[in-house]
Amino acid sequence: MALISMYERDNSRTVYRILADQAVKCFDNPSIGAEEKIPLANLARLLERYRYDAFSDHVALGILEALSAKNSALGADSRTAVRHMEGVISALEAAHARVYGGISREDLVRTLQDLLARIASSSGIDEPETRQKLENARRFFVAFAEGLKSA
Amino acid sequence: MSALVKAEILRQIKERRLVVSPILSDKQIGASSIDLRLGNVFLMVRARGLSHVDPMQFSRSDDPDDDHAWEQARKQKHERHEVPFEKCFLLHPGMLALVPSLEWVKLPPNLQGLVTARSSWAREGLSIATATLINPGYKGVITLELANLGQIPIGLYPGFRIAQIVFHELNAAAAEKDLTSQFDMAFEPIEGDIVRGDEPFLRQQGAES
Amino acid sequence: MDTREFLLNECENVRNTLREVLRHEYAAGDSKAFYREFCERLANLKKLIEPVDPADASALATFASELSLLSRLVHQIERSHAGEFSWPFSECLQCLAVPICKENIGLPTEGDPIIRVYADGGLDSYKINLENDLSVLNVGRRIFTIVFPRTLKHQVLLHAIFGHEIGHAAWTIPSHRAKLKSEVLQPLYAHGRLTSTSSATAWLRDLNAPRPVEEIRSQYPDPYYTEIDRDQWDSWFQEFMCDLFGMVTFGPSFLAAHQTLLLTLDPTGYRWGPQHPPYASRKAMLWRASKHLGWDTYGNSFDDAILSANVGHFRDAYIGASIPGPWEDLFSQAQVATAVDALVAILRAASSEPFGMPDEATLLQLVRMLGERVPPCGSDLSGAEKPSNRAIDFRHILFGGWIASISADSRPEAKGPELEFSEINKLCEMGILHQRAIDLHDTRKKEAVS
Repeated sequence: MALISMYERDNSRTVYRILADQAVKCFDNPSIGAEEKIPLANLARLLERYRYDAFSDHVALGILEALSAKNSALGADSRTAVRHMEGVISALEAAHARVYGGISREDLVRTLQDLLARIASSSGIDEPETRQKLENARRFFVAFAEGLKSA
Repeated sequence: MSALVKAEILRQIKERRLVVSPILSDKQIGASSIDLRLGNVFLMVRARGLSHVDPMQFSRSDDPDDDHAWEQARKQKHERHEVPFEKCFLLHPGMLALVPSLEWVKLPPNLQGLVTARSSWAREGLSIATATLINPGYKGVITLELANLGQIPIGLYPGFRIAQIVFHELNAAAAEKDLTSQFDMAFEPIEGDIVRGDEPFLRQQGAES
Repeated sequence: MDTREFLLNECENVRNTLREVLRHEYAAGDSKAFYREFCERLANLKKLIEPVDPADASALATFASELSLLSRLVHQIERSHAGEFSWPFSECLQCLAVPICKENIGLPTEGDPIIRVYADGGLDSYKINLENDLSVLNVGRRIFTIVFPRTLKHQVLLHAIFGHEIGHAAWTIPSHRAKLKSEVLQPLYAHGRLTSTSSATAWLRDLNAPRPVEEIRSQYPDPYYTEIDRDQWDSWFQEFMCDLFGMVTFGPSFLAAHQTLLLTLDPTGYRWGPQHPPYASRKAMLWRASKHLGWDTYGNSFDDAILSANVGHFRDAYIGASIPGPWEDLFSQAQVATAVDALVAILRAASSEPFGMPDEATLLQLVRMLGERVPPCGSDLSGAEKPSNRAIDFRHILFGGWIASISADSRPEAKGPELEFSEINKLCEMGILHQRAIDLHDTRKKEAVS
C-alpha cells in the first residue's frame, strides 16, 4: 500500500523550511554535518527533482488495485493525488536566481549536491577554494528558507 | 532386491527414468548412493500446542463443525519456518524437525529408495530418526525427521548434505494400482497420519473411556 | 501534556514497538539495515521535536505526520514473514528491480534502497512502493516495499505482473523519469487518438466504438465518466508505460499474467477508470510491442515441432493472433517501437538486464522437465559423471511454465492427467529455488578457486 500521509493537506513548505534551516546550521558549523545526513540527503533529493523538473507526482495504485471495482467506477472517485509543490519550486527558483543567477539548473544542482556531500562526510570542507562555495551555498539555503516562509 | 551402483544410478538418471534434481556436485554421488541436501523448510513440533499425541485428533468425523477443530489441531501442532540459503537454523537437543530434501526425487515403478543419515552428521548428534523408505513411483521432496541427540544445539544451513539415498531394484515393477497417487507430488514435508487405516481401533465418539 | 510532549512520548512508543518487532523472523531483505535506518529517522525526528516552538503549529503537524508514517512502517515489518510469500521469487525480483531503483544524489550513504517484502490480501495486492513522497521529512535510505498477494503465494507465473510495478518504482527516480518522459511517453502521445485530453475524451465517446464500450457508456450515462481530465490522462500514460516496462523486464510471461489477471477483474476488457485505460487498448499496444521484439515469429523455426506448436498456442492465447481493432489500436508501430527501444536502453544503462528470449534448447529442457513433473531448472547430469548445471534466468522458467500450462499434455513424456495450473506454479517455484541453489553453489565454488 502506498504510504500516503494521513493529512490530506500538503505540508511540503514546512518540511523544506525545516530542512533548509538544518542545512544552514550545517553550513555555519560543518563539523555537525556527519550527524545531519538525513536532512542533507532529503535536500539533495529535492535538488535532483529540481534538476529534472520531476515534481508532479501521483500516488500510483497497484495494477490490479486500480482495476478493482471500487476504484474503477467513476472519475469522481479518482485516487490520483498530485503533490503541488508550487511554493517550494518558486522558492527554489528565487534562491537560484538570487544567489546563482546565470548558471543552469544542472550546474546548480551538481554544485550544491557536491557541497552537501562534503558536509555530510566532513571531507574537503577546509580547502580555501571550498569556503567561498560553502558561503554561496549557505546563502542559497537561507534564501530558499526565506522564500518558503513568505510563500 | 539389489542396490544400484554408481554407474547404474547415472545410467538411469541419464535415461530420465530416475530423477534426483538438482545434483550440485559430483561429490554428492557415491559408490552406491546419492547425498541429499537440506531443504528450506523446518516443521517443529510446537511444545505448547498439544498435551500429548492423541490419535483421536487425527480422526475426522463427518460433522462439518469438526472441520475447524481438525484443521486447527493439525496446523497448531507444528511451527513452520522457511529458511533461505545462507541462513542458519538451530536444532536444539531433544528437538525433532521435519525437513524436506532440497532435491526432487522421482522413482520409476521398479525402484525403491532408502534414506539414511550421513555418518559425519550422525557423529555430531544429528540423527535421521527413522530410516525413510521411498516407494516406487514417488515424486517429490523427501521428508526427513531430524533429531538432535547431542548435548548442544546444531546449526543447520539449507543446502548442506545431511542424508543419503540408496536405490534398490525390486524383483518386479510395482503394479500401477499399487502406485497410489502416482501423480501426486510432494512439495512440502509431510506430516504423518498415524490413524489412517487403523480407525476401527479408535475409541468411538461418545463411548465411555 | 502539550503537543510537543505528546510527540516525544509517541517517539518512545514507536521505539519500543521497533524493539518488539525484532522478536519475529523475517526472511527477505536486510532487517539490520532497516533497523538502523529506522533508528536514525526516529533520532532525527526527536532532535527536531525537542527544540520546537510550541506555537509552531505547522511544524508540530508535520512531526505528527512523520511519526504516523514511522508507526505504519514498523507495523508493516511485523508482517514480513518468509512463509507467506515466495522468497526465492522475491530474491530474483529484487536482483531485477533494485538496480533501476538506485538513487544518485551524490551523498555517500545513499544508493541501494532497503528492501521490505510482505504478503497481503488477494489479487489486487500486487504492489511495489519506493518511498518518493516529497512531503516526507525524514528519509535516509529509501525503503523499497514489495507486496505479494497472500493467497497467491506459490503462483509464480502470475508474479510476472511485477514487471509493471517496477515501472512505477523507476518513475520515482528523477533521472529515469526525465528519460521516460522524453523517450517513452512523448513518442506515445505525440500522435494518435490520445494526444490530448480532448482527443482522449472524443475517443471514449466515439460512436463507432465496439459494442462493449457502448454498453459501458449506457451503464454510466454521466458525461463525466467519458471525460478525461489531465490527472486521468497522466495516469493512463503511466499505465501504458508500465505495461511496456513489464514486457521488457519479464517477457511473454508478463503478457500472460497481465491478461489472466486483468481480465479476471474486468472480463469485458473494455472498462476504464481514473487510473487505468481499457485492457483492450493495452493489449493492442503490447501486440505491437511483441511484433517489434520479434515475439510473433519466435519459435517458428524450432527443430522440435511440438515445442514450436506449443509456442504458437501461447502466442495465439496471450500475444494475439490478429491485428487489433481500429478503436483499440491507439498507437502506430513506429511509436511503440521507439518507446520499447528507449525502455530497453534505459534498463541497460541502469544495469538491469532486459528480458531476452531463451534459446530452443533451454526452453525445451524447461518444458520437458515440467512434462515429467520435475521442477524446471538448469540441472543437468546428461554428460559424464559430473553435473553440468547451468545458469538459467528465472524469467525463462516462468515462460516455460506458461508454455506448459497451455499445452501440458502434448509432449510424449507428459504422462498422466494434465498438470493443473497450481501444480505448474509450484513446480516452477521449486525450479526457481533449485536454480538459486545451483547459482549459489557455482558462484561460491568459482570464488573459492579464484
